Amino acid sequence: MNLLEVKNVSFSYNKAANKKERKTKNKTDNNKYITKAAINNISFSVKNNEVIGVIGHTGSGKSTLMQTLNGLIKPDSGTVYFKGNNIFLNKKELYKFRFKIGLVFQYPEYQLFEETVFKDVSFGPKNMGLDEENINKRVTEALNIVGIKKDLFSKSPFDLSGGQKRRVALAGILAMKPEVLVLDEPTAGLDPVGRKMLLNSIINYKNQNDAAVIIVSHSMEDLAKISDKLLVLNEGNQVAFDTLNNVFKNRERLQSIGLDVPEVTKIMIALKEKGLINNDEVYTVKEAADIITNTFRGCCND
Amino acid sequence: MIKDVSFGQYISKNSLIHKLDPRLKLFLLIAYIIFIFLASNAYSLLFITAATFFILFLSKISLKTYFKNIRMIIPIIIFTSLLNALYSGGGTLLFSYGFIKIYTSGIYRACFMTVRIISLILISSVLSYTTTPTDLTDAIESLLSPLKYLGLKNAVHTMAMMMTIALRFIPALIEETDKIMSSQKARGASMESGGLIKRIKALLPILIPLLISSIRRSYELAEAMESRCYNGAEGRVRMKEMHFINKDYFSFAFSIVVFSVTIILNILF
Amino acid sequence: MATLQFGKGIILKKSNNTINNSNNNCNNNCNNCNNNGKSTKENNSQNIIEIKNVSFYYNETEGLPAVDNVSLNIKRGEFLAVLGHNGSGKSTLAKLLNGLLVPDSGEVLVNGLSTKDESQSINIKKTVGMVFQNPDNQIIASIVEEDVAFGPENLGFTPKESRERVESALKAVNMWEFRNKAPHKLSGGQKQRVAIAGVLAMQPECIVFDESTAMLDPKGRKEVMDTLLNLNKNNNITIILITHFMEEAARAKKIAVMNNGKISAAGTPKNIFSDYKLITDTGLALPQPTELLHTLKEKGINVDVSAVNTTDCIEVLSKLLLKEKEA
Repeated sequence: MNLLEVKNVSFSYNKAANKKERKTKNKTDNNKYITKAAINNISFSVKNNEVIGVIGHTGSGKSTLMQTLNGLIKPDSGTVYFKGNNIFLNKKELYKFRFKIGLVFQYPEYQLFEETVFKDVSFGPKNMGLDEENINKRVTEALNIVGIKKDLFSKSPFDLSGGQKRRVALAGILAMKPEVLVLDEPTAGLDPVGRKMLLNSIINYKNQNDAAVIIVSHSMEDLAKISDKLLVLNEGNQVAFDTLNNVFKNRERLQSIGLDVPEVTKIMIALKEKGLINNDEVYTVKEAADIITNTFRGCCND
Repeated sequence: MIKDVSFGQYISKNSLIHKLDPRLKLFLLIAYIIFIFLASNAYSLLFITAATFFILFLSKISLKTYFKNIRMIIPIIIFTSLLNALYSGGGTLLFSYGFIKIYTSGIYRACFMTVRIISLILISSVLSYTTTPTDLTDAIESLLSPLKYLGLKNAVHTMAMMMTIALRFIPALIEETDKIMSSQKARGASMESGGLIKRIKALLPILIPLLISSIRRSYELAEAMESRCYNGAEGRVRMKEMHFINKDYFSFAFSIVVFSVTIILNILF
Repeated sequence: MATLQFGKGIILKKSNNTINNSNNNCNNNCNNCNNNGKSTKENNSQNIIEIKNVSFYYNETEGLPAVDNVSLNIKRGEFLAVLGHNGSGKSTLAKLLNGLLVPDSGEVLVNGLSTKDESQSINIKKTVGMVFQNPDNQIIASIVEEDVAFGPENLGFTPKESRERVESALKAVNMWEFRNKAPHKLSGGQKQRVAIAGVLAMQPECIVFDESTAMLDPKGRKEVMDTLLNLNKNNNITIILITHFMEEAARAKKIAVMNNGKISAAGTPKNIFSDYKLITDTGLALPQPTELLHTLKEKGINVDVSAVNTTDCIEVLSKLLLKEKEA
């Protein structure tokens, strides 16, 4: 069964602004805020223990879509189902879905505010109305998953390094034990080690809790490593929702919207064109190395 | 939503008023305000109000836009009118109910005050609708420049720089507040419910990150400014030069005529 | 709340920017700054920046130095990338280069002038421009052209000269048509290009990019990379690029790797990325093509691992596979 299902969701920022704009039509471009990207008829679904990678340029509507998933933005048309329940059905119950569908914003460390790491992570569980024992258990678990050591629990989150702050902020969402984890460019601005640790934390959480993950990233290489399916967006429209193979096979389509296959795939495609290997449907370094080694050894055995 | 707040009221048009030197506009605005107050009888007030409408017309911005600003102060107008109507005795009694007595002079005073307030609002709106915030900052800096001779050169410059930076960062801070609010909502924070203390407490998760990010921003901005050889007012020469052109002289002359006629009407009647 | 510490943001000790009297005489020879080496006669040395045994502590009483006895020469016209994990000291090093920070021991010489000499502060900042990480926090004015004019205005140029500089700087980064826009309406890459123009308008000989691509999307990153490569090649401006992106570093002429405040290696991208141990020990990663070659080598295939970009990697692998086929 689908854990989360997005059905024909459309949203435009302009209709609210339109009314205002009509009144002050004479304003120049200079005086309008950048129109945030709208989304148009997006449909996809995600199952337990599945990772959906979302790609698209800035302005493709990724961030807008992410905020409709947990009800922060109400779509103009279409809706989001969580375990078959329409999350927008009852306005008063909507906030409860935010605990089930955890949303990690871009640069989430900017939301930290408490005196200690531990207190900050317990903000979410506290809002859920859990008892203290339960809160403590969840917070400790969440901090463990993101690899924050016990001696940092009582430190101020502002004393941590950039990568640690990011992971504490992630733990703040994980402590609510969401069944769907939605992340908007979680690795932006981190160094290679920080990126790796963060992605590992996300995958560990998914495996331990059988959760679904929806992750926005600019890095094809990262997405290729962890995703089961890809959702490709362009200017608010859904270009594709399909397996890695089917998305990357259509390279022209990706290039036409300014995206491309992972670097390693480019190498494999070039090698296949030269007739040196016979399979270029690989998207990670590991797979590519296996294929080249096999070709290599295969030909030596002849 | 916060994002809908548009900052600054500037409306871009190609009009005489838009093209005037911002320093002159600011100076004339102050003069108009003074003379609207000085207009002491119906003739002079109506004259300067007519002049105000003529200026509105020249700005090519619709009256409707201007009157939007008046809508907001209707309660103030009603309040002052009532006070004036109730407390001025004189002329014939028009209406009486218990201790409430309204005389013709009361009605006259109420109308007079209303016209005066409306003129004030309209003439002030002309400046804010036709001048960009940056131009306005520059105008304030140059109008305060006489203070430089009092040894306050750095103070004037610092004030103007602070205003420039504030204008630059308001949109960024609005956006940031919105983002932090959304992030905390995603953690289940509710900002709409509860008593006063609970609501104030609910603001902390927004205010603290906002404060911290503002401090971080200011450090980064200071470094960027220093890296670009910023050294206060010392040796700094603005690229944008302000020159008086014919339009400015003409507008200045026009205003002098308006002010003189207002005073003459004051004396004659 | 416990003590607030804003990481590297707070500068405990920074150079006191005293008013610079030499302001005007340095303006005169500035126009030929770009014809490098000619600008100052006594400075025809081939190094634009010399870092000599520099150490810097954010907090002298406790803790380790952020930069620990570093020595490095940067040649005129060079394109140097500085790699290192978060907290390795590379941003601190960047701020030492234009006198935003002053070394606790050792010396940084820019065109032979020490950053410790406060009377040369403006001169040094004008020579070594800085572009920072967050595009939003380095744009000062509400209109693009006014922001770009900020540097020249501070240097006391006449309005006419400032205008010329603003125009040529904005044209150099392809942002001339946006000169009347408000910065907050621009994309990240565009904002960063405005920031570059703001530095260019001072006509620097060297520009330091302190993780200037970190917050951008791939399109914005490409815009900034293309701009800086162009400035290096066509305007002969020395570029120092501090980055987390290995593909960007791979395009530099030289890479310096920082770790724990020290420079642990310096060399061409090929040299650096062939050293797998160095990369893992210093918390870095390999560009994907190089990673593929290293993985193959680990599997016992004898392959040259020095290719750092896709094209080179395809060539290496083609040769290898062809040779095997023929054999």
